[in-house]
Order: sequence, then C-alpha cells, then structure tokens
Amino acid sequence: MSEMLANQYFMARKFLEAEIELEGVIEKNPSNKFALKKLVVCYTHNNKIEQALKILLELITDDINFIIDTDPIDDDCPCFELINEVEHKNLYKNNSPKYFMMLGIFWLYCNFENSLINFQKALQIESENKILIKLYDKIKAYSDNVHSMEIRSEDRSIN
Amino acid sequence: MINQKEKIQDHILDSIGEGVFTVDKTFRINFFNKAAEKITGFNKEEVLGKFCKHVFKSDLCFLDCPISIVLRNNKNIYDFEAKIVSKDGERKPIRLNSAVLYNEENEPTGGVISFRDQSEVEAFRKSLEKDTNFYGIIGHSKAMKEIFELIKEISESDAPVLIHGESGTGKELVANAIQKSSRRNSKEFVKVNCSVFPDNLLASELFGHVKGAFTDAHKDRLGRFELANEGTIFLDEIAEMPIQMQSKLLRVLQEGTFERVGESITRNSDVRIISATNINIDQALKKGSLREDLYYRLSVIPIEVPPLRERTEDIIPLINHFISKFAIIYKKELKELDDNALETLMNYNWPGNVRELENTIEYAFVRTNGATIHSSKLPAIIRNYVSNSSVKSIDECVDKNCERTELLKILNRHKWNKTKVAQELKVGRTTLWRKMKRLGLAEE
Repeated sequence: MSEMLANQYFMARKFLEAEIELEGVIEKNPSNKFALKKLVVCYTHNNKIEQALKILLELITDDINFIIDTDPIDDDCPCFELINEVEHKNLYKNNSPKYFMMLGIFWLYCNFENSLINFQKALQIESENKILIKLYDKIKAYSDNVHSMEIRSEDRSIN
Repeated sequence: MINQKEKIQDHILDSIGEGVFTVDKTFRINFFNKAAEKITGFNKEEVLGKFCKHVFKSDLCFLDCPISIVLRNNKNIYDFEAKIVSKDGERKPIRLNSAVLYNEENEPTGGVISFRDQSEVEAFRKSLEKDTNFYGIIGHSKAMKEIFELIKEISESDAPVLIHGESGTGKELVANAIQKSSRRNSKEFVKVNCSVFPDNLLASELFGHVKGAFTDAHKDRLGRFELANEGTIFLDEIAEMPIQMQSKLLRVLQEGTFERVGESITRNSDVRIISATNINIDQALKKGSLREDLYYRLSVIPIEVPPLRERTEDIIPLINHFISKFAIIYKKELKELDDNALETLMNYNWPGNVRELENTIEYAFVRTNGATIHSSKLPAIIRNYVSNSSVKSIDECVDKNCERTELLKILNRHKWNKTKVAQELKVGRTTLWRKMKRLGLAEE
C-alpha cells in the first residue's frame, strides 16, 4: 500500500480505490493525520458514514482546525463537489439522517457553520447517536468560541 | 555542498530538450525545467507547489495518471501518448516517460515525468491523412475504392477476414483499417507474424504457457489470444503456420477455446481474427500446407488487395504522398519528379508493390539536392527494366486488362489531359472517351 498512490486516487476522485489504499496506509501508521483526513471523505462518499464519523471525531478532538482550515484549491479538497453531488443528484434520500450526516461531514471541511446546521438536523432524527452527539458538541463549542471571540473583538473596536 | 549538487542537477536538466518535471508524494510540482516551460507556456514560478493536474489538465490525471501506473505496476513507462493543455489553452499531444522516486526505506516519495512535444509530428500525421483516402491507405483506383467500401460495410461484423495480396501491397494497412473501423476499435489489437516464430514457440506465443512448460518457461505467460480478448488479432503470413498449429487455430475459430502450453485448463477468448497471406492459396490447398477447413473458416470475408501494376492510377498519388513524407522526415523542401522520371515509374511493373515504390522515392529523394527528381536519380534496376522493355502499344494488347493498364499509363503520363492522350493515340477525343468508358476509366 502506498500513500502516494492513495493520494493520486484521491486526487482523481477515485474514492473506492483511495479508500483501500488509505486503509493500508493507516494500518502501517495509525497516526497519519493526512491519510485519516482523506479517509473520512472516502468513507463518507462510499456510504460508510459510521466509520467516517468515528475518525472525524478523533481528528477534531485532537485539532479541529486541521479539518476546518482545509482550502478547496490549495488542498485540492473535493468537498464542495461532493456537497453539490449529495444535494443535487438525489443519490441519497433527502431529510434522512444519513443525508444530513454526509453534508455535515463534507461542510466541516469548507464551512463549520453549515456543518453544524446539518449535524443538528441529523441529531433531531437520531438523538441517541453517541458519536454524533460528541461531534456536534465539539463543533458547537468551537463555533461558540469563535462567536464569543468575534463579539469581544467587536467590543474592543467600539471602545 | 548539497545545494551545489542540486544546482548542477538543475542546470543539467535545464539544458536538455525534453520537458522534465517532478512531483512530491502529494503530486505537487517541485521541479520544472526550461523545456517544460517552453512546451507548456508556464513559468516555473507559476507551477511550483501546484498540483500537477491543475497545471496540465490532462484527461489522464483522472483516468490513468502515468505515475500511478508506475506505482501500481512497479515498472517505468516509456513513450506514453497523452495530451496536455498549454497555458494558452491549446491541447498539445505529448509523449512521456514516467518513473517513481523512492526514499531509503523504499517508499515512494515523488515522481518524475519527462515529455516531448508531439505537435509537429501530429500535424504531419494529419496532413498525410488528409491526402490519404481511408485510414492511411492511398487508393484512388476503383479496386481500392471497392475495398474501402467493403471495409465500411463489414464494420459491424465480427466475421473473420482473410486478406490476400502480393508482398508490399499494404495488407497490414488494410487490417489496420478493418480494426479501426470496427466496433472493437477501442479494444486491444494484437499483431502476430506467424512466419517469424519457430514451430515450438508459436503455440506459446499465441496461447501462452505455464511455468515449467519448457526449459525457458520461468514463469506463466499470457498468449496473444488472451491479450487480445474482446479485441482483434492480426495473423500475418497465416499460410506459413505449421500444420499442427493450424488445427489448434481452427479450434479457436470454431469454439473460441484453447489451452496454454503445459496446462490442461481450457480457456476462452473472444477475439476477432484478421489474417493475411501472400502465397498462392490454391497451390497451398492442393499441396496440403494450408488446411482447407481452416481456410474456409478464416476467409468468411476475403479481401484481395491488387498489385500496384494493376492500379497504376494510384501511382501518382502515392508518389506525392511519399515525397511529402520524406520532405518532413529529411527536413528538405518538397520536390517533384520530372516527366522522364514519372514516365519511368509509370512504366515499371512494381513486383515489390507499394513498399518498393516507397523505397524508390526515398532513394531518389535522398540522392536529389535540388527541387526536381530526375530519372537518373532512380534506382538503376528500375531504369534498366523500363529501358529494356519495349513500350507496349495499346493495339498490341490482347485482353481488356492489358488495354486498360496501358491506357492508364498514358492518361497518367499526360496528367489526364485527354487532348494530349488523343493526340498520342492518334484518335479523336470522342473515340478516346468511348474507349475510356468501355474500360471503366471514364469516371475516374
């Protein structure tokens, strides 16, 4: 298994092949954050939502900015394309928890607020999903923190 | 010290004519030489740190990235055809070589691609194609046009085709045209010359072998029939195939099954067979060197490629085609033949057919410095043949074929100026027209 080949598959949007290669890479080095970050996208795309949520939770517990600061161009992140695919190609049943979870995951790489909205909708339907709850709490805490910092900085500029 | 070494390496890579770039393991470009800048139109500064797919915008980046092929197969690739989009949006054909770079732990850490601009070669190929009539075959004669028509008609069929014709008539080009116009054109096209393999190796070549099947069989090997699965196989010089092999081939034709040498597992292959031969088939059948049942199986669609002497109307277009080709290959100006040279070529009987004509034009082309090829620059064998053979008058002809061939020569010599032809034949233009019509030349 080669990380470089996994990167190429990911770059070429061959998510099934990328998933297999990335799993091999993670097996050799379970702390490879870059591979894990990509594997979340592959699992989500390949309809393995529970596995994706689990890894995503580990990653944001360690460093949420590692996901949130992803740049669509500089990091060649496919999430905008995938959001478009989920929202407009009717591949998944609208308003199902899976639909909102997928969007929640993909949006986290591009816009944490949209991600939070989707995870919240998923939680309204699957309120007992423990990983989902933890994930939501982490993103919510981050969001609250960002907002309180914004308010403080606005206050400072008024004073 | 390392910096100094790297500078020298960069300098070397900048001085070569091939474009070279390298990527890291995330496929971001980390080296881009001067030739790559020239071919793509991008400056080094514009591309360093960018993903290669964003720079080259090749379909291959998504379908079959050359570096990923090397990563998968552990084998460098050479002369791979691809298209890239240059900075000004032009799609450029290139040929590339690709390799993977490894660290000390033998893990892939990057890739290197060297590439050549093929735009000029492609333009040349297209300009030649424009002059040709059918998938690279030059044919203005009725016989060749009928072959083109037949190839179009059979394009939906998978029936075996047997191409018969003298050596040098272009049987392989006909086979290429059949494959390219068929519905299997996107699949493998495997060619085998049955006469070049010793008897014992041909079976292994066609059907493959398993490890240990014979002394040099160190590992399993796929045969050509397996490689051509779902595609087409071209068996050239089929009549040279040993008789034992012919029965095995017959089985493939009848049942689509075969066994690898040294193995008893029966394998299937869905292959369309095109074969060719230049031998006298009747004689081979009588002699028993070609199995009759195989012949009938192979020749569901027979195609007879006529010798050049029977389609002299193709000589001038072929000459023009070859002159254009050699002008590009030898980077010389276009040349033309003077009337004497043309007459000599028109009166020669071309036993080696189109291949001999091509060789003749190349010979004369390289011997000529000016813009005109004179007959003195033609091979002596051709000049001697023509000067020794008395020019046959049309009146001496005893059959229609001879009459047609001789009239064609005169028409070609006068570039189809009927007044001049009529003058040479000492007949009126109406008589000439009637004669042309009777010989099937009036519309050509």
